[in-house]
Amino acid sequence: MTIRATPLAYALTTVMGCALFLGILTGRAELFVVALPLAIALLSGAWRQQAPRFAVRQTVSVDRLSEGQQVTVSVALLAERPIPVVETLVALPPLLALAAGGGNNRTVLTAAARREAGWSFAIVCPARGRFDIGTVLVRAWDLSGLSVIEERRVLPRSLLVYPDVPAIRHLPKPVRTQRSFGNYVSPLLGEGIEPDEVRPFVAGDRTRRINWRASLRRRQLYVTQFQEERNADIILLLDALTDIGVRPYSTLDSCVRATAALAKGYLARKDRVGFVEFGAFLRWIDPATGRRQAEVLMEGLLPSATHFSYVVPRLDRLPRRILPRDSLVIAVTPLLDERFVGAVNDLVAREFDVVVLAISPVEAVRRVLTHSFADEIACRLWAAEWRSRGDALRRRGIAVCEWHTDQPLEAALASFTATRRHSAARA
Amino acid sequence: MNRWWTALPIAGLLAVPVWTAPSTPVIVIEAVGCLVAALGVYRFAKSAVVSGCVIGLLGYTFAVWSEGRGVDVIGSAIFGFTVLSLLDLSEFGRRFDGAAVAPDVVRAQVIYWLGRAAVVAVAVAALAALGYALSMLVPGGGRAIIAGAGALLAFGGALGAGITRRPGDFVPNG
Repeated sequence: MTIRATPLAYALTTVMGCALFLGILTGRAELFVVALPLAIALLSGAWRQQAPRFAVRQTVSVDRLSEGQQVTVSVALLAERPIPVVETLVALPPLLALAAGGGNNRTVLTAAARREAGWSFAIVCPARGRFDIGTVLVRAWDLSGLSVIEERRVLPRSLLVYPDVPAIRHLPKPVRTQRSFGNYVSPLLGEGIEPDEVRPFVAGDRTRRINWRASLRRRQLYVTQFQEERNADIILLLDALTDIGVRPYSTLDSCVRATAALAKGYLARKDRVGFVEFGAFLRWIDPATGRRQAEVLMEGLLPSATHFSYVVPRLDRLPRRILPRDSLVIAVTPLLDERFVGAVNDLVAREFDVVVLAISPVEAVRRVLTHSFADEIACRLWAAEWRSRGDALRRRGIAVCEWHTDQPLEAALASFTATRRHSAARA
Repeated sequence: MNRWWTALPIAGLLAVPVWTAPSTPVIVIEAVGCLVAALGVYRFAKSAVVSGCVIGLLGYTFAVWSEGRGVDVIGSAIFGFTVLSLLDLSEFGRRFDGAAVAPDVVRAQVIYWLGRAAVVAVAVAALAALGYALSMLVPGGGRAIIAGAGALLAFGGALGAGITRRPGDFVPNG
């Protein structure tokens, strides 16, 4: 708790001092009379307010929400003694903003004794992250305005803003499958619903597998064999080495949204999904499946950010359980850092099934430009250069899906999965 | 309570000295003072408002000194109250700029200011009566000494009220 004199006290003292000085200098009594109201105002500040004792309570309508959603924050102040003027400010982190027409995070009110005084306001959370909104700054003024008591209360209140996840149906299919039940047709024959070939009946075959049409035609029992449906291990490799553009439209934000959408899509297909953040340091989440894993992945994506480091992380140091041999690695990157491209090449050399989801940085930068002719030309040249990076990866046999963020992710993935299926069929 | 309310004391800052001595220098000085004060109110610059008040005070001093009439207690009391109102209103606007101010706060503040204005009026009346009594009782040379001593006492008392710490006060950063 801090008490200090306000600028008004110094201002009154200055003007009163001037009036008295001029009065003595000129010998005119009027100037002493001029100083009198100022002196009375200063004396009125001598009856100092007592140390206010109060409790601050803060509640939020929701503490977990998606990007772009609003949350209502309610603040209540309960004072033991009346405070004539109390100014309360809920400190907002830089990315959070007040919702239009949703109230103010800074309010001046009167607190009566033992009666709650409160207000509420709405804030918009445009970008993902974990935000602390529990810092409340309270200033208690007396009515003279000559002294103020300041106090800072830190309440344990945080908001979790998850990335906005677009629904996607078309997902790159993995080449290799795992042993657990899933949605992908495996080359292995067994219990499944996808028919494969018809062969003569042998002892031990289940009668429900008998293909009656073939059996009647051939006058011998035949059974239909089925392909097994298995799941796959998907590793989402996020490039956190670079981030350009303004949040929430930066390349890293787009990468995180795409990663979240892919994770949600694959988990819905019962695949095991893991996550590796390739930034200044490696951060990972073990592959797993289920709703709990979806929650873990979303929490894991929240703190993704770029950090400066001279150290180049190496994926070959990751344990095998983090990066399983038969997994599909989807590298989500704006293709701006050669270190990440090197890591992708390294994975391909180690015979991983790799798909690169290249997120165009041009749209993120275009948002902050002035749209002049020179900017447009520069963006076009940069886009051409960026496409050439993707082409270089394609020449090395890596599947690259380009996503321009001004279009839906679903559209980019739909065209990509179609071309990947055709190329896989040709191979 | 917005910044437009400060237009009233700024107008008073110009009007009282001009009413006391309607001369060109007074008008010019007061106009400059009002301009500086208005600029300070507009830009929420406390130092500019104080500068405007001091310039206005200089203009008023020049007005009463050049006029050389008897003591104008009412005019000077109005001028002092105008300066006080300007400082109070500009500080209130600056302090709570951008905040949502509850109507209760404005009501309580206005009542407080009105109460203080009443106290000022009573104090001016008492001072005028005391001055008149002293002028009757004390010879000419002693009046200046008494006035100077009173001024110093008032200044010292006001400063002491703002600086002295007493039991029950808060410990800074405590």
